[in-house]
Amino acid sequence: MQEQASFLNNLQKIFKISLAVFTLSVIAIKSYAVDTEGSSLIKESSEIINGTPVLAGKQPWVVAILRKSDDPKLTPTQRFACTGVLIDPSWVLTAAHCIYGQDSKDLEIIIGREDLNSKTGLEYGIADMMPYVFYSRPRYDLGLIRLETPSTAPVAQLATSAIEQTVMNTQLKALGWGYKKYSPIPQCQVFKTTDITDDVSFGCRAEIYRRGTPTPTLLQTNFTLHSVKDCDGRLKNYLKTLGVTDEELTAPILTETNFVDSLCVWDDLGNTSICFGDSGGPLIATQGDKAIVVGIASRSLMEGCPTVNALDLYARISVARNTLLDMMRTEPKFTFNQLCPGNITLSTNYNPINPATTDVTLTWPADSRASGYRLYYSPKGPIKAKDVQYITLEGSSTNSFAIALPKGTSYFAKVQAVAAQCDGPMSDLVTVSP
Amino acid sequence: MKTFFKFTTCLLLAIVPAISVSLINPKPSNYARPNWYAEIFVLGSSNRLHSFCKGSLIAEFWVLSSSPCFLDPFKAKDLALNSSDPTYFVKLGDSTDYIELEDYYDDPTLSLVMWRLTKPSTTQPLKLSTQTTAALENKNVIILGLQTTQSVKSATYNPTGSYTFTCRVNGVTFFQPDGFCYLLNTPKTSASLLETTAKIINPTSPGAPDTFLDTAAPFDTTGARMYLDFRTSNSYPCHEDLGAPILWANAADELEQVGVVTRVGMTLGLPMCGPSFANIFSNTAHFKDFIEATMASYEFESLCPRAPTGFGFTRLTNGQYRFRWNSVSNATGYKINYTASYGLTPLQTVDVKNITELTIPLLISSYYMASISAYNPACESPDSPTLTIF
Repeated sequence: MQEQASFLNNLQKIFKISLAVFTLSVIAIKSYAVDTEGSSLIKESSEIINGTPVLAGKQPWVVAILRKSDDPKLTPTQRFACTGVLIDPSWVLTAAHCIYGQDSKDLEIIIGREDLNSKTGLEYGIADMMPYVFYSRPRYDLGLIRLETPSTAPVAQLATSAIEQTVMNTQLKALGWGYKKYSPIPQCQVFKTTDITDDVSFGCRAEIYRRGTPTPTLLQTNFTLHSVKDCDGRLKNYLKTLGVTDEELTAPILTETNFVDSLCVWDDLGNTSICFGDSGGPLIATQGDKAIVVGIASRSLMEGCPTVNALDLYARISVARNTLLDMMRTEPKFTFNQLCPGNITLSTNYNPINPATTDVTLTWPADSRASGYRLYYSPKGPIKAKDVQYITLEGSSTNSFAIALPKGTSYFAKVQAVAAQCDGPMSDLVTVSP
Repeated sequence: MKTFFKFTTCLLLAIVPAISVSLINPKPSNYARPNWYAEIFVLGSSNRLHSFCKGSLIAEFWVLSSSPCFLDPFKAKDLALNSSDPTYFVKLGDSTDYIELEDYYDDPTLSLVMWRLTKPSTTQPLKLSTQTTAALENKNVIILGLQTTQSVKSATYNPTGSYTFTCRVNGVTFFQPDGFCYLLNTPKTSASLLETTAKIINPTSPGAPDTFLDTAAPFDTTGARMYLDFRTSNSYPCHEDLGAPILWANAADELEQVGVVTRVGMTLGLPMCGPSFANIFSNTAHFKDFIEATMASYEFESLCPRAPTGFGFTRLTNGQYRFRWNSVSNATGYKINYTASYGLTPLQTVDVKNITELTIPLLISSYYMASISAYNPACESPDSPTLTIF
């Protein structure tokens, strides 16, 4: 965390200077990069600019993440959210920012459909989604999606450090759906903030964007994977074009430490880049007929879309591999609360036996996670917490409580299940009126 | 599809003092809002407060209001309501102290909502009447309001019930398959509180407005609803007045609350206000149990401590981890659950009694998830958000 902060502070310092000197050029450039949370220089999202279509079945592990909609007029392209990659029959790997804050019920996965408008392949529901445990936007931008039913499609493997070493400075395949062409309307008010949280400190506000031309086709291109040192050099070259002086750029901005979660790629010919649209797409190395995921599209230097200065950042698989595998071993949707007993629905039964009293039995379904139950009660009426009393009933099968109440008296009652690790929530209030 | 009608002029609430129980000689004036008159705000973007609903202070910590506020299309446009957990505030009377609201408890089937204040109000609550709807029949009641212009700009009628008929209201598209489609104005409101009167009527009696005949909502025979006729005063509440109290003067000439403005216009939550439209409001005496049980239920729950906040850890030089958290007011102890590797068992539970820190050795090569709860003899809190330790 420390390294990350200093990295960003460095950027902030540098760009503040450049802002003052080159406001106009910054405006023009900024228009490329805005997300829903404001704006940032490093943009989360990607699309393959100038890519070539992927032939059917050639990259069967690449999957599309679509938003569900009740509106039949929306095309699959319009519902498209992100790209992902199948790494296990039950697991899709994508970018954390594609799933963070989303409800798994609102998304679906399409496997085996390079042309989103076609009917090939299969649709899958989502059982569970987990951002990488150390995800801290935009760092460690990885997320796992557990499919409701396993897929039989071929899967890609996760790169180890050794494999990553062997593919350094070589060309890797980047894949993604999205917009082939992107035409922003450059309306941008540059603003500046004095504090920094997780992004650089100035950017655009209130831009209007025209989306690009949608393509329903999975595209691919080749990027060279570069070392952190080369990446640092390229970033500095870019900053120099913004007017940052050599003096200010003597110290490294990106280091093996502060950039440990990311990989840096670009097209040496300057023809293609990732841009807005479908994050989460894989960077793939091929060994024989095996596909190995080296990175997941996370963000790009905003100017690189689509320019010769492209600097595209992928979340790095080799450092996350073991943790990802651990996460895939979890039970679905683990939370501590699932160990706790659940909510209780109370019912009341009246069994009048003698004229002066009424026997009331409170009953509720037994909960196997409970070691007992706690019954809270108070006189009916405007009460305070101090008026509430309780008794604890031991035993998980003790799921009723009988009491004889004088006629004409009324009580409020609630019940909760208790267990060693945690108690369940209190039931709704019931009124006991013999 | 034909144009049904267009309003060219708007009927306004009469400008009269609101506190007076005498409506015979109303005097226009600017006067203070009664301290029990509640205006609820929602915190929007840029820290702006948007008026959300009206209500009445009925107890030290409680404001009674109307759940259809949540359906009002004017509110739906409010960005704050796109937030999953918006923050609400209440202003009582003319106080400049905006009290944050802790939570709300609603029952849409009752059209009522109870708001809990985060701190006690210092003013006298409004007294709830025990008058049933039947007992109030043909009685005059008083309603306080703020809205001065119609909500509706124009309306079209969709007789076919086709789903291709789309309404767009302030950027919100919705389908109104069989009925009216409205174009809305942002209504204007008065700075000072306004007052009007209405008569509670039996909707089936001769001469009752036939606009009560709304198939979507059959006549209520339980006494839950009150049907109000505003034709005499020709002055009536509209959507900005949802939640406002309906008052009457009891035998001792004191104002009591007999109802809540829960429904104005033809369709729930859609704006069509008028003296003879379906002004169907809720009787508070009928919902005495809901009100009482909501307040009691809160008292029950308050036995439980809140989940501790500020749960965090520091790694010590000897490889141990020290957990810390903020103490909770009514807790007598804390329990930490932790587990290795993203929820894989075995789960460890440590009861740390009444201290607020714990040092434990964890394996450096693994990572852990942990959460904490607070307890007292009566109850245990829910777990805090889960912490991941690397």
